[in-house]
Amino acid sequence: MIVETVNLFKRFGDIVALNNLNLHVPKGISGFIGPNGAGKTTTINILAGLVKPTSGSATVLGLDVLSESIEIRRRVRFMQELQPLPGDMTVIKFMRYASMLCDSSIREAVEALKTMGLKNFMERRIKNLSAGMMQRLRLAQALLGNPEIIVLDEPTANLDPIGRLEVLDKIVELNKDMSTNFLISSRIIPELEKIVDWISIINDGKIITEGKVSDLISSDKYNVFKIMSSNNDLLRKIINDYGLECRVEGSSLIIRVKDHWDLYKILSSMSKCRVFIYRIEVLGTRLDEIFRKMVGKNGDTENF
Amino acid sequence: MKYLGKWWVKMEILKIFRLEYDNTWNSKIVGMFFSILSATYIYSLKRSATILMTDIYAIYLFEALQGYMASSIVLVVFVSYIFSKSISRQISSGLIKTWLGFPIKRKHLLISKFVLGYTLLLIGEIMPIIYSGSIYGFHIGILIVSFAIILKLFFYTSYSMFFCLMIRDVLASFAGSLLSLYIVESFPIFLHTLGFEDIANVVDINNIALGLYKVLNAKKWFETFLETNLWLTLIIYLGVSILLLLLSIQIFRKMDLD
Repeated sequence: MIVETVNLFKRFGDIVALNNLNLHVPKGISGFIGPNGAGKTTTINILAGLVKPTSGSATVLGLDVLSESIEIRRRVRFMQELQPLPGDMTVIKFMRYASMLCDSSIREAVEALKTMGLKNFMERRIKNLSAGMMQRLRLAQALLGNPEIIVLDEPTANLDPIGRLEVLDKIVELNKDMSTNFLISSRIIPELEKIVDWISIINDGKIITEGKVSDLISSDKYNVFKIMSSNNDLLRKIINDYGLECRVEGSSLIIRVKDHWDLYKILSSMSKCRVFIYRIEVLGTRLDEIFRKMVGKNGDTENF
Repeated sequence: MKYLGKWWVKMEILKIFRLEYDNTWNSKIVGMFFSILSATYIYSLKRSATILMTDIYAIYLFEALQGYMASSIVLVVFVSYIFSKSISRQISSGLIKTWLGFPIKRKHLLISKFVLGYTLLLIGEIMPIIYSGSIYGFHIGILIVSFAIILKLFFYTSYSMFFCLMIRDVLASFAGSLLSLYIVESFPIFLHTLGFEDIANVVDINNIALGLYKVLNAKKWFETFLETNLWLTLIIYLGVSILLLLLSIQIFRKMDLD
């Protein structure tokens, strides 16, 4: 395991941010997901040495976060969510300082800027960059110094759809070519699902499940369907009458059924009630469905 | 290996110096600070130049002190401004987390902020003394005033840094540091008005220069040194400054930057 925490506990005044968190992150690209306030950023801040745990222990690459924090930051790069940047500095100046502080070269800094598509903005002041450009700059500084692990907190925040894809492709490329390991915290689960091998789900400061994405998906016995009908309210009532779970997504309903017999019952009831089906789509089990189920069980977010 | 380790520490602090200079200070602020301080000082010298005194060195010391006291007002504003910008603003905006994401020690970051702030402010204070020295000639008085300034500035910077570390709001830390330093400056005057002359003389930081002048001009300098309670003033200000500096480092090392 490249990151491991044992009974990590953190209290901010009366608020318990982490409640005996036991996180395990193997080599490769790992995802760290959870609802708002679950404790993702606090965990990352503890790993970066910015926040001290109240009790428990955490190691990164086998190094203790309390006593060997400098060595961790030498081998691991952190990108915090919407990390503030020195607005008055130019892009290249910031990168020059960043490379100087992590013993990298200016050539590598320029290369990182090129990779993140900031080559033409090097002389621009950071405060004059768009939110998306700033996010690219944060990612560029995280690439410096050939780190063994890059920890990214919401790396695709503020990026346009093409930018998001580029970032995700870059992560996969770095993992393949340089064997760089990634720990990515994100709320956009479908995006994460495409690239991660391992996932840890956190809620209320605890890990509720973790494991290989393929194992998690195959362990889920439910089938997920997306139905667009002429009367969603009535359809919802029918589904609830059968004791099944559903939720609204746009003009459709997403239903989770254990077997196809459940679906048959719903469809026949719809027919009796003259509710017409416009479209039905088989979604299969997705990571976000597992996440919703896991977090919903704990009563934190809406049911399912 | 030990030598290499120390060399690395020095390199790290130098790197942070450059970063800190660009981040908090810059040529505009330095230029403005040096100009305002020199202008205050020179104005003060010109104003007092007509006073006739028989002892040319006493004139020099008197003028230097006048300028140094006048410049204290400017200095307090700058110290509070610099440390509220360098510490409170960086902590409240989260920018400090960006720098601490790199392999640098918190202790080194804070010490760099302190040393850079102290050195630049000190240069700004010493420069006008050199001007006045060039007008009146260089004398032992220059050492006295310089020493007093080094000590006073040490107290100001460590106090302001501690204050700005405690209060994360930029405006509140600036106003609070400014106000409390003025209170510290005015406290001896308040004690004088209440009639506590002895205590007022001991806690008056401005008495250091005058006390030293008396000591150096006295025949029995050691007795004068003890009589003037200069030793007590020195111990109080040096002790408080070192204590505040060490406390700041400890607090910053243990601080949660969430």
